[in-house]
Parts: sequence; structure tokens; C-alpha cells
Amino acid sequence: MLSSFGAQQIEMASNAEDALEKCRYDFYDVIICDFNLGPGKNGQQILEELRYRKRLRHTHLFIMITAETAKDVVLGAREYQPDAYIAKPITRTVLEQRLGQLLLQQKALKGINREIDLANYPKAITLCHQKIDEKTRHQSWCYQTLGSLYIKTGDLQSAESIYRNALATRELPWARIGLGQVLLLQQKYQLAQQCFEQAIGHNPNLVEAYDGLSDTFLKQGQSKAAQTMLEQAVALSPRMVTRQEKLGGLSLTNNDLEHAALAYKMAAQYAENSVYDKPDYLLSLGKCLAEWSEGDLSEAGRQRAQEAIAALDRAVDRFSSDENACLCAMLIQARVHAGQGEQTTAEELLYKFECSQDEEAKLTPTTYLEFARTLYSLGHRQRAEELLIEMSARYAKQADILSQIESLMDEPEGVEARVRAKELNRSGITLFEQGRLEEAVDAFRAALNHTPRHAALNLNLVQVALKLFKDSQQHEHLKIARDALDQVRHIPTQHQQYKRLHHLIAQVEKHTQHSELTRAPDTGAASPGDA
Amino acid sequence: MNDKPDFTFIIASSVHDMKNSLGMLIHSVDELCERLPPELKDALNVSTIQYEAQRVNNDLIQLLGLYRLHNEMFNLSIDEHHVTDIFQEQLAHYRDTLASRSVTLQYDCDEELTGYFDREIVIGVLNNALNNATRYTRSQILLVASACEGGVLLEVHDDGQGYPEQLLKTEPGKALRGIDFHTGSTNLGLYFASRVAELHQQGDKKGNVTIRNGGRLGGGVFSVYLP
Repeated sequence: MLSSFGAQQIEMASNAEDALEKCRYDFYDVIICDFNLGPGKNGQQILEELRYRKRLRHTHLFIMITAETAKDVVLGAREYQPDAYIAKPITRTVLEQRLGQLLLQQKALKGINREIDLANYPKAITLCHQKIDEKTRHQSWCYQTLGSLYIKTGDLQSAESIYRNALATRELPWARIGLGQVLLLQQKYQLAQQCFEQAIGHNPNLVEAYDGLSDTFLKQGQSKAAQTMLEQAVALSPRMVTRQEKLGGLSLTNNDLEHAALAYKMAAQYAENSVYDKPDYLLSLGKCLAEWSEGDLSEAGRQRAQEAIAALDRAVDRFSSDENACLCAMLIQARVHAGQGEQTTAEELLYKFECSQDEEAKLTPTTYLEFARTLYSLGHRQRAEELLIEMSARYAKQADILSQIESLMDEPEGVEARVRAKELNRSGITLFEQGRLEEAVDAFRAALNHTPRHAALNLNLVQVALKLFKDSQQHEHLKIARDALDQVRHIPTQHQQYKRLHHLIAQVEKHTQHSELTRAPDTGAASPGDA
Repeated sequence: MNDKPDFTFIIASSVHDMKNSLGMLIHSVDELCERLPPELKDALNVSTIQYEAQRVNNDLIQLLGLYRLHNEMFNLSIDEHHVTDIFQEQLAHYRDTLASRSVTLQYDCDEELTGYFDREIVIGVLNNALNNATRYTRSQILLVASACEGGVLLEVHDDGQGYPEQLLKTEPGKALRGIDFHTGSTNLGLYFASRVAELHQQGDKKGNVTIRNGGRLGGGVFSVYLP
């Protein structure tokens, strides 16, 4: 059929692997691909992989053909922007027609696309302007391309004027979303938000507009709203693995285990066969479910625990060559069992992990953190803390790892305990500020019932108790401060609270020594900080 | 929640299923025809099979569209399109069917004329009008497009007897009320086209559908205005 259109060299691939293999060595002017390719990768995943591996130039055409009309398929496939999306049934004549149109356009725009492929954006911009001056039929394409080129080169002002001019005549989704993106980059969050909302008002299927809104909310610190927007984007187009992963992370930030688990589950499902596949989705799913089912012996809890075990088994099964992933899976499984009261099984798994650790294994910090978390979970707090202190020294220069170590050390407890502790800490701070010191002490102590080793929280208590002592000279208050300090003395020098700890230790010692002689002058210590 | 299943949903799911099956059927017939010698094609009346299958397909697409309209699930994806591209595609699509009926199909449209509309939907509407014209024309069909009040006006002219008097009096948007059980005509196409055109809005302008008799070829004229 194609040869009758005048194509000189036509190659057929009978499945996705074959197609990708061919694209690895050759570039094709036109790729025509069905969405449904039987078992293995689908058409979207081929396009995704070609884009990821940069095996598809702007000067080439990728045409997706499909009998699928399901919304998730259509929107998903469109997100990777095939040059055309043709619905079946497709007749010879219609294909000929569409292909002809696309080839003509491609030919006319080849110069611009070639510069874009070479990342020669200023040249591409010049060529776009020339093309627009020629007043050919590709004006709209040129303006659209100009907008994104200006954003790429950081010329936000020019991009903005392109979009605003386009919108002056009529409402165009690409211009509205482009404008939103520019406003977001210019940190004009209110305006960006309005812009994206307007785009959605005109067409609720514009997935990018939800992405834009989510980013806008995130920049403004509204992580709940950001999560809601991503959930809407995912509801429209669930097949984008990267978005599911982002949603999972965002849900975790919001302490929303249920939605995090759902997002990671979907990510794992759609990542299968995809170039974005990695063990992290299944591991994260296992982690969410492990935490969610911890101590929950009801039917629902048991099911979640089972699901966690199954997901982690699948991770080991599918990524058997990834040693760290397999070890992490084992550790998380130990936690799941511990959470269900199966201490013996949990200990066996932990032992198994420790045995395999000797074999010269190169463990990543993630695996070590998982190890520490499991030690906590199985009741080996001291070992966990020793491990984390050792890690702090080893990764002293990696801020992201240090902060993970710190938060695990402060709060090895589950989400619920963390949320409660945070609330109580806040009310403690408020009470302190209102001068209601006795009540503040009660609040901080209640918070510490949930997270007893939390450094900042303990130090807050020390500070308030110390102030109370200065007023009352009652030894009971000094004892509260000393006891709280004992909960924090273990923290390593890299911990953010380390300086404050030693300042307060000095204070408490001074008061202990001089308490019966004179009242020490107020040192003007800062008010307790947020945990 | 009501336990009773939503009947419209059941119908819509079935229609969706039928449409997919029909799509496969049309594709198979096309493939089969490619292999047939020309004389056999005529003898077997292949073009009638193709025409009727296409007609049912258009109807099913419309039914689904109406279901979505009804449930407010209908979202347009409006973009700029060259009208000649659309017309050429239709010419290609209907060439074989029309040739076998000795009907010529041509278009008259400025090469540079562009409009802002949902490509698939508007093609669906034009397909339906063309199907209808194919049925009632004598020997010619002409597609005409022109710029109109900031938008485009797309027309299908034929040289048949024209629309019946009664239908001309009906507002296309209310065409469904006049279901004629004698002729079997439901006016569904007209109703659908009208609803879809109305969804195309620009500023204070709204798309619409009109029918009249006369036109360039003296038969029926189906017009859709898209702002």
C-alpha cells in the first residue's frame, strides 16, 4: 500500500521490540505505528521510548493508528505528541491523503525542524519569523513553535507576547497553556493559576493545564491542592508513568498513604514494558502498604499486608538482577510481617538480609535507610540509631541523604503518630508564645508520647521547662529539661539540631550548678522552633 | 444510589461495541475488495456494502456523540485546520463509492482558507451530510467553503430534489421532534450536526446548521457555520 504512494524504502516490524531495534540503527522519515501491538509494548510506549532515547527527530513523522477510542488511550498517546493520530477504520485513500498533507508540511518546515534538532534555537527562531513573513499556511504552527522556542531560550517576554497576541483574536488552548507556563516561570502565580483554570474551563481534557495548576500550587506551598490537581490529570490520562510517580511522592508529602499507594500501583502497572520501568514503583507501593497496614489486624489491614508482600515479590521477580532492589524488598517485607505481629518471620527476613550483606555487596544509601527503618520497626532502636549515626558521618556531604537520615532518626514512627506529634508541637508553640508555659509543657510532652526521639520537639520542651524553672526555681522543671535532653544526646554532629542541643545542655548544666545560689540572667534564647 | 442500571449507559456501551465491530468489518471488507478484480467488484455490488456500512458507522458515531452531549461529557478539541485538507480527505474517502454510482464530487475552496474547529467531529458531520447527499443527488455533489463573519461556512450542495418542504420548516436544533415513522427518517443527523455546531463558540458567536434548497446545483444545500 505504501509503496504505491512512492515510498522508496519500506521496512516492516512485526512487534515492538523489532521496531525499536530497527530505530536503534536507522532513522526513518515516517513511522506508522499501531497502538495495539499485542503482548509487550504498545504504540504509546514505542513513541515514549523513541522520544526518551532521542531516536525521533523533529524532521521525522510519527503517525499513530488506532482502533482505540477509550479516553485514557487517546489522551495518553497524545501526550507524547505523535505528528498525527488516525482512528481506524482507515482506508487506503484516507491514509494517502493524510500522509500527503503531513509530508508536505514536514517538507515546508524541514529547515526549522532541523535547527531544533541541532538545538540551534536562535536560528530556528529566525527561520520561524521568515516563514511567518512568507504568509504560508503554516503560520499557526510557526507561532506555536516560536512560543516554545522562546521559553527554551529563556526569553519569557517574547514568549508571553507571542501567546498574548494569539489569544487576542481567539481562545486557543496552546496559547493559553503557553501563557500559563510563562507566568509560572515569571513567578506570577496568581495569574498563572487563572490562566490554567481558564484553559480547563474551555476544555476539561487539557491534561497539561492540570499539570501547570499543580506546579503553580506547589510553588505557593499548597501541596494538598497540588495533589488534587495531579489526581485530576491522572484520572484523565493514567498511562503517563512519570506523572503517577510524581503524584505518589506528593501524596506521601501530604501523609496520604492511600493515594500514594494507588499512584505507585498505577505507575507499576503502566511502567511494565515501558522505558521508564524501574523497581521503585513496586517498592514504594510495598512501603506505603507496609506502613498503612502496620498494627492493623483487621481484615482490611491483613489484605493490605498481603498486597504489600505480593507487590514486593513481584519486584524481586521482575528485577532479580537489581541486588539493592531485592534487598529493599526483603527489608520491607520484614516490616510488613512485624506490623502484622509475625515477629519471628520478620526477624528471619532481617537475619537473611544481614547474611547477604556480608558478601561484598555494594549497598546504596536507600538500602541502608530501609535497613534502619526495619530495625526500628522490629524494635531494635539502638542498632537503628547506631547505623544512622554511622551513615551521617559517611554521607556528611550529601544534604538530601542527611535530611532523610535526620527525619528517620527523629520520627521512626508511622504517619499517624507524626501527624499527631506535629499538631501537638504547634499548639505547644502557640501556648508558649501566649505565656501559658505549664500548658505548653503538657502539649510538648503529649507530642513526645507519639515521637519520643524527635530532636526539635525534645529541645522545645527543654526550653520551656528551663524558662519555667527560671521563674519558679522548682527542681521538678529542671528534671523535665534534663530528661528531655537525654532523649536527644545521641544525635550526630551533622544533625540540624546539634548546635541547639549543646547550647541547651550548657544552659541546663549552668542552672543545675547555680540553681540554689542566684537566678541566672535571661540569655534571651529564641522561642521554640517548629519541628 | 439507585441499583437499577442506567439504560442510556447500557445502550451507549452496546453502541460503542457495535461501532468497534463494524469498524473491523469495514476494514475487512476493504481489504477483501483490494484483492477483487474490478469486474467482480461491480458484480458483487461492493460499493453498496461499503456505503451502507459507512452509513451505519456514521449513525453509531452520532449516537455516541449524542450520548456524550446528553451527559455533558462532550469536549471539543478545537484547533486551526485548512478546509481544503478536510475536503480532500472527504474526496478520497467517498471517491470509490460515488464513482460506482456515477456521481461526481468536487470542491470549491480557497487553498488558504482556515477554520477553527474540532477536526474529527466536523468531519463526522460532513460525512453524514455527504452520505445523505449521496443518497438523494442525481449526478453531482459540490463542497463549498467560504470565510464568514470571522469563521467559516461549509456547505454540501447536490442536484437532487432538495429537502422536503416540511423539513425546511423545522429548526435543525429541534429536528428530533419530527420523527417520521413512515419514511424511517429520524433527522438524527441534522439534530446532531446542529448540536455540535452550537458547541463551537467564539466570543458571542455560536455555530449553527441550516438547510435550504437551490444553491449552486439546484438541489439541497446543507450548511454549517463555525465561528
